[in-house]
Amino acid sequence: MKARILTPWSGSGKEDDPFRPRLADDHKLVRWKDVTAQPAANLQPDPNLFVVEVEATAEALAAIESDSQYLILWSE
Amino acid sequence: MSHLPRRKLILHQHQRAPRAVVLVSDTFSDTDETLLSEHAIAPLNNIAAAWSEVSSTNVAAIRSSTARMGSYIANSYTQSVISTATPNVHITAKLYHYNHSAIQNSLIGRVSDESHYWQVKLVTTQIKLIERNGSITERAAAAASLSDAFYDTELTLDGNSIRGKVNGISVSYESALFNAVTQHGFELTIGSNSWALALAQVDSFLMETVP
Repeated sequence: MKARILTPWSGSGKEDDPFRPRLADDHKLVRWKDVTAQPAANLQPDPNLFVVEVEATAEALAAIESDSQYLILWSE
Repeated sequence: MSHLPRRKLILHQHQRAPRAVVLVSDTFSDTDETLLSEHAIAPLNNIAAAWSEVSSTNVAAIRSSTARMGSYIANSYTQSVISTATPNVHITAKLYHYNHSAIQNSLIGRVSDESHYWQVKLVTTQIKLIERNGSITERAAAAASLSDAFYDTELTLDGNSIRGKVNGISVSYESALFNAVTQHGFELTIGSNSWALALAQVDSFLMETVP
């Protein structure tokens, strides 16, 4: 399934801790990509939120939906 | 008058689709221990280019017809690039994948210096598309089930489209960042494990234009 999801950034931008969506740390995703394209110079933004487009199983999306840290904007 | 549209149609049928032009193809066949910076690109070098190191804490050298990390230095890396006349290229190479973070091989594109470029990297069970712009930002990733082996890896830089592919699994991102930069190549990284030295390797590097 595909979905667009609001997530905070995680990480510090360093080699062993790159900026990445916290969602990818917390949930198993088949694939994701940043669709907000916030400039790296502005990371992390305030408020710390951006949108990723993900592919995930129905089970994974159900788990994300029940996780109050994330907001699913749409899914199909 | 009634024949004019027909003639136009015939002209269109003779137009050829643009084709990719091979810029370089390197199979890294050379005497063992030849530094990559002293190695002659072969079998094809249509732009009279040579490998150069952007920055490194190690060197790349030829061994057993692959380009490898030159020596064991803990937590070291080497970035080797070729200067071209275009920021828009399609790169394919065989990158060795090993399911451990101590070994990270990648293709890099639009490299202006050691910390500004695009990168497609194999990291344990993921393929990552990374923007190095001073800081390091993962812009896309995909789960992958990879064995310890060479994998055909691709990086395509086509205008604002940045695409990576490994073993048929693709990642993509849209950005105008670095889109005038014309150096492209690969990066090898090893951690604190000496065994990683033998696994930091790349083979069959091919770079062509994007039609």
